[in-house]
Amino acid sequence: MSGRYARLRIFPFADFSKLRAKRVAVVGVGGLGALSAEILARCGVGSLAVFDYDTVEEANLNRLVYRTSQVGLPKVKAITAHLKEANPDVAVTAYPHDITDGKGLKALDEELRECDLVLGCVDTFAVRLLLNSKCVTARVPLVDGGASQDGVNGSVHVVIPGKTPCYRCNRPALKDTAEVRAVRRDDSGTCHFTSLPTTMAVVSSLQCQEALKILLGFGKVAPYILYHGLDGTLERIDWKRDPKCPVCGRRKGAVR
Amino acid sequence: MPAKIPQKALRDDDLFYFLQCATVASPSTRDWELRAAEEEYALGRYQEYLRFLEGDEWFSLRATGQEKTRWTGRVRSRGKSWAMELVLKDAYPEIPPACRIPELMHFTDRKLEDPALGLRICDMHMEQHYWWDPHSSLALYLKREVSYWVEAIVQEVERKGWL
Repeated sequence: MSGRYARLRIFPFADFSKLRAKRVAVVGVGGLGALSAEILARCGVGSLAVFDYDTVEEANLNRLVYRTSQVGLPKVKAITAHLKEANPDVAVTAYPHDITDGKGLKALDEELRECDLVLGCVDTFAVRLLLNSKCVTARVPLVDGGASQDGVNGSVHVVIPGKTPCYRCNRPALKDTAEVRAVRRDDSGTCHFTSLPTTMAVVSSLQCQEALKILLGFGKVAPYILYHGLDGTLERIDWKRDPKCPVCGRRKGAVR
Repeated sequence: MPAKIPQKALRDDDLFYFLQCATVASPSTRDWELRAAEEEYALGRYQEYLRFLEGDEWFSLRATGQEKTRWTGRVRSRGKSWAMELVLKDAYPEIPPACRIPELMHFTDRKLEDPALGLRICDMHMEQHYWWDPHSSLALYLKREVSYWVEAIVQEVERKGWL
């Protein structure tokens, strides 16, 4: 271990040198995933697999990591260059594909056989459900992070297959259609949901902290953490597994 | 004495159990042909239900090819109609179909560049598919997501005077 990790070596609760042998898949490298990937790279995770089919846009620059000169580049290419600068020790495999289709789905299946943990940094529930189901089946821990549409709240959900509740276990009741809002879309197609770099940094830090606990086996993993930005509070929720969960429950037809 | 109806079955949407498919297969697996046939059958039953019981066939849909992974048609509400496209990706049925109604999506607020649909689109505000499971069909998706979404968005857009 070089001097790069000197401050990590003296961490009293775990041996950070073990991270060299770990492989983590980061699905989605936008405002959240790019930061999380950087944190893990700087901590010395041996190899990272990054998935994203999107390109860097000007609207992404209010958050951290990406630079103006990278606008127009595929996000995985931009983040690979950034991670190499941050820590040349880390091996990065980039997949510029959609994980719900074709090459991306195949690559995800292959990565799930190799990696020790998956970080979910996606922005749609459909993809979260897919990641949840794939990780439960492959028995790979998933740490999912997300921010609220108003940009000030966030959450981190840890799924350790067979131990903690999966993403489907605590689904809410059917949504209220009154939530549907009609707004005039910007012609550039820019997302109208706000996104604060501060919230993203808090959520990615929490997400990586839980990921490190799982990878290195220290502390107590929090199954669900809520960050309330307006109040400045963190809330830990220890919910239970649903025995009837269609993904991780015991009923007939469940994935596992 | 009649059998006790489970509490779950008393919810309106659960009465649409006949829109589920028995086979769990994705477009890239060999059982897809069977699943695709079940999807078509469920769509037919749903359209029959709409025609004879609700008297409102609010959508029309047909597969664009033999693979039955891409469906196009129209969706109707309040005397108007819009083009609709649904794509079943390789991860289907683990995930719901990708749906596009371009003219209505112009009024929604999510940006999503979808390579399968081939366009930068605005996603419907219906990303919380917690009810979805691999037995759910295209028809059930239309019933439980698209119908509510179209009704809600058209009502709101009309109220704001944009249509």
